[in-house]
Amino acid sequence: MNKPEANRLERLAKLVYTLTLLGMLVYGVTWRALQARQKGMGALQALESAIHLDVYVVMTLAAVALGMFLCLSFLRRFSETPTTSPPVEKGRTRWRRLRVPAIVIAVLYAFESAWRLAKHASTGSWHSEDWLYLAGAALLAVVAIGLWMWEPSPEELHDMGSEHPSRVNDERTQRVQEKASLTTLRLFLLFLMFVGIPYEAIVYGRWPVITMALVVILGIIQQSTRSYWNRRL
Amino acid sequence: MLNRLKVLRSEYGMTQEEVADRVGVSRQTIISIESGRYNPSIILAYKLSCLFSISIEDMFCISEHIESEDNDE
Repeated sequence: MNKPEANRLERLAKLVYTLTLLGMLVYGVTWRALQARQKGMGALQALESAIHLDVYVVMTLAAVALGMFLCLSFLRRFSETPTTSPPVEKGRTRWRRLRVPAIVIAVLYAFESAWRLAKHASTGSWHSEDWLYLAGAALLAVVAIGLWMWEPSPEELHDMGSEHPSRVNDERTQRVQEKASLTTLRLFLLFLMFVGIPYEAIVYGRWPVITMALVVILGIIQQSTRSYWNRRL
Repeated sequence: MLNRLKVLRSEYGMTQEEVADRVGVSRQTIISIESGRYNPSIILAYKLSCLFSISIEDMFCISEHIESEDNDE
């Protein structure tokens, strides 16, 4: 893929993804607000109710959107046309072997989501969590199409399968990705801890147990991996 | 950390793309090192110093080190 092509693809993917997510969020909040209005709530109360019900969904979708934006921002760098050949052939990823299982997983998830969403939509039992399934399915669909249509350059395949990153995915790009991922996770956790949990606890007088468990689990995973790499490196 | 990469590259008449190809990184990495926004790993610093046939100390130095030398003078 040459650079102008990659730039166009990046812009198009960003636009489609942003519009899809924004559409889903606006539709979700409006739908809930209208439902609340039908039950006789005031406009402000209805909006507040809608935002409260969808707060975790909105937050998760925002995190997904941010992650996708970061991935798309790196697309240009990844698609830079290499001018040198990979240093060694050993360890090169076999693309077809990687592509097939990834596509099978994506298709299975898409079918599972479609079945679940169709069932909920037809019986009128649409849950706020269903938006997450929809976002996940959309993301996997994009990934599956990408895997099917674009084969990475030999250098990228080499990078995937070996511990000798070349100029396509060099040390600076890796550092940038690490920092971006860490920042996304930190923002997500800070939002959960200082906005999501206190909001539910103070305004509604109940503790969101699942969210709190999620924060604890993330903390445990972080500490475990830290001690693991501390021993390894 | 300060470096003399830009000066050395000009002396050798090389482009950023050529340096990037020779040491196996992207041009963006060379741009970032030259502007001082990114400090390379020891492996990349070694490759760069080998490319210009000088020692790592001659190519990279800590900014505090220069300041203390200036104060001594």
